[in-house]
Amino acid sequence: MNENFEQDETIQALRKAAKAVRAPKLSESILESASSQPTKANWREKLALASQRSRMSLMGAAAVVAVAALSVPLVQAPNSNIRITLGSTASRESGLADQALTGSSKMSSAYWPQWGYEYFAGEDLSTDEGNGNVYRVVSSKSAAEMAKLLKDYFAVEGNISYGDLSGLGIMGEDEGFAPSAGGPTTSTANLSNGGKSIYVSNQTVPYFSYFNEAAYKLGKCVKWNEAKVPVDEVGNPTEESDPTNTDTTYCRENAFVEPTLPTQADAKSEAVEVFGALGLIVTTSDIIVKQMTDTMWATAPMKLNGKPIGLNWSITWGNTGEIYTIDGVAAKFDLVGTVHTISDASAVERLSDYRWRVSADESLTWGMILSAYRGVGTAPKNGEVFEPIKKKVIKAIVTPGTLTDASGQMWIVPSVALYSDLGVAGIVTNVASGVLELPEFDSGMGGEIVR
Amino acid sequence: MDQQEFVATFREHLTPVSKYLTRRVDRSDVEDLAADIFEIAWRKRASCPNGMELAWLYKIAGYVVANHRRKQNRRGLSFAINDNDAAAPSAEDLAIGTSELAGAFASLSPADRQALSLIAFENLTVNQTAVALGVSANTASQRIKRARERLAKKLSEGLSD
Repeated sequence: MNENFEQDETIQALRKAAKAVRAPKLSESILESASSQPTKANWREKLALASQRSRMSLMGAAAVVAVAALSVPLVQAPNSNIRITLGSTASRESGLADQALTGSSKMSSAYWPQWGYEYFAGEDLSTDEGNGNVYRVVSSKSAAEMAKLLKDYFAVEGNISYGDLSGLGIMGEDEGFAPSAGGPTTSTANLSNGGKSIYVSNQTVPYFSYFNEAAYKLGKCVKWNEAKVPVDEVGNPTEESDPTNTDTTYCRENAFVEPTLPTQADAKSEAVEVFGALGLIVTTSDIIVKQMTDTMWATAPMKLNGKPIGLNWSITWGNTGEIYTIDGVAAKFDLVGTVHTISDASAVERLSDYRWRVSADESLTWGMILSAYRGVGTAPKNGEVFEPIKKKVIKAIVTPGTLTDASGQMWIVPSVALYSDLGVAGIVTNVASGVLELPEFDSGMGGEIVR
Repeated sequence: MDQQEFVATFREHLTPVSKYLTRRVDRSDVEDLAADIFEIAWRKRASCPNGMELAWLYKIAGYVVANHRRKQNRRGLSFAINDNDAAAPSAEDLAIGTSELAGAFASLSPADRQALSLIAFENLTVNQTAVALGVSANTASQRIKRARERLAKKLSEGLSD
């Protein structure tokens, strides 16, 4: 019997005996609708994520931020030598740094939300060209250094173990996975002891997470499940529990534990202190705190010249008031040089070409509405021609944008968020032609039979 | 993962999810439940294991189907954290063509049916099944082996209760 039971007669018999199902065809509008809300991971999801990381040690970082050892860049003379080569299939955007980990997107115009819209610049948009700075996102610490820092700061006993993601079966299937495309070294550092876990994954930069299981106390079990499985000390099934065993019961619902949480002011102060100790220098005014029923969450956006770039560090407190999770990315930004930028009005033309897209602060995309996705999932069939809807771009907000090049290197480039009366039309880089070496345009018009 | 990448990543999984649901719920509920699954996937996208997107969707789908069945049965609405197996398909759901096999399959526990269905009908690997069940690969492998052994035993005994 092989691992996937391909040679197993019983499995094969079952497979053959099953009648084919005629499943309804689902529209991509389901995906668009599901993702129409600019949700951040809520509290419990963050806790679940941290828990999952500690168990599986292979999860990508969620909300992440670069270490802000930033100097205020000087505006230099435009540098004509800066050239960034973009890949054709690798994850292009990197505003949410976990995309550098997943890298599975094969961006094409099929995914470009403005399919079906034809944008033109409104009269209020600037026609002035300018300059902007390009930064390379680099590690501020190695994975090993970051793990050591976390270990010392949180007093986690034990030895850090090191590994390579390529040996853990996570790589290899997707050509777009950044490190396999010749990017920076991929390595991991792990330590799990006494309910505390540290995990650092050095992809383009070290993404780290810390998890302290003891910070969240489960109450006494008030509801037990009929199924009987091995349980831990509070009655929850363990990871290795096999629900097919019926020799004990496990907890279905725990009693509420009255939380002992820090005040919002204390939480901000502690976040500043902890982030600072780990490498992100922020002030209390940078910290956003949200208190939930029995937990508290705080986040700090990473800023470049005072503007958030879409990367964040996060910290959570469990119901004991102790730090439950922290995650972020140990990175810094090296100023590469200054490039010419095109005008806001000219940048509007780039909305029709996905290759110019960048990621940026999430708040800039709030307001993206479904009607802006008119074309997605309804690719023109042979001979069918879309009659585009003309929309005027009425507002532009200059912002740092992030992208990942063909080698997996992450960059911050001058960019602009453009808006119509429907909301954000897109965020594109406004670097002058020649700075980016674009991949061949993928029309994405081949269509996909969905049955 | 932003909105565009979410659509790009999961669009290929629309059909498998539809089939998964069709095997387990009334066809008229498939679209609504699929919408629920992808809404949860969007909220939890940061925790999606790389390369395991479909299996991860099945894990969510298991909870969604379990909750759906509970609602239909008017037996509570709580989130089925530990009850993914409640989403196991019945023999009727799977429309197994062989009555003997259908009977044997129906006599298995929900946990056994869920493990077998993921490997046999959703064509997941053991590692993917582990993600879908929320257990380790070793545990998933053991569950599948035990389930197929019980199925084989019932078939050999001619049991169909």
